[in-house]
Amino acid sequence: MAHIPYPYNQIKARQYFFVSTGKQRIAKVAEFLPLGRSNTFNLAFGDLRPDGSIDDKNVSNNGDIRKVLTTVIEILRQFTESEPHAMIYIEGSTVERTRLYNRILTTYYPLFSKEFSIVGILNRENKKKPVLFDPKSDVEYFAFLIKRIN
Amino acid sequence: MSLVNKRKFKRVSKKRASSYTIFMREINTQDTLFPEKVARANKMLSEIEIDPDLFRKK
Repeated sequence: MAHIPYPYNQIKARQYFFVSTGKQRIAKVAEFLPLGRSNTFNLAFGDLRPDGSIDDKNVSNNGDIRKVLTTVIEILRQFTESEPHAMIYIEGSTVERTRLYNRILTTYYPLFSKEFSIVGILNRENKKKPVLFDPKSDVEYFAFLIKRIN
Repeated sequence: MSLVNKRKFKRVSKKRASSYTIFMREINTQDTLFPEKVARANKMLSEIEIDPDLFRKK
């Protein structure tokens, strides 16, 4: 990744915490939620509010989105090293966020694809279809599934 | 009391250290921070069939 990730702490087996230090300091948390399907986890990510609740829709415009996402990818890397057979489901909390993840995956695909295989989920006429992620395509993916290959 | 960021060995203010302590206490008392996400992701995954070979194609 082109950016250096923020230092992060593992709070629990599947929970991570770091602080974004852009224009302001914003506490961030990432969590891998076990799903009904075996070895499958939802990567959830958001801002930690002062009352301890989570905001995963807030657009903070903190000026460090790439560094924040580099940190999340670093966390993903660490988690999948300890759970090499895990399949990670990622869906943005809003359409804009999913688009942002799409752009990030496209930008860093040459690097990312050395370690991970990415499946994009298409949503056409309310029918979902998983296909191999194509960084050259301009189709809009609804969500992503990521698995470590190396 | 001050909190030391071990990675950078940088001291942070008492106020900030106190905020972090509250954050950590709050999040440590919760099993999951995103309870609503699980049902949504499970529903989504139940609607698709994933061919394991899809991950092997390049």
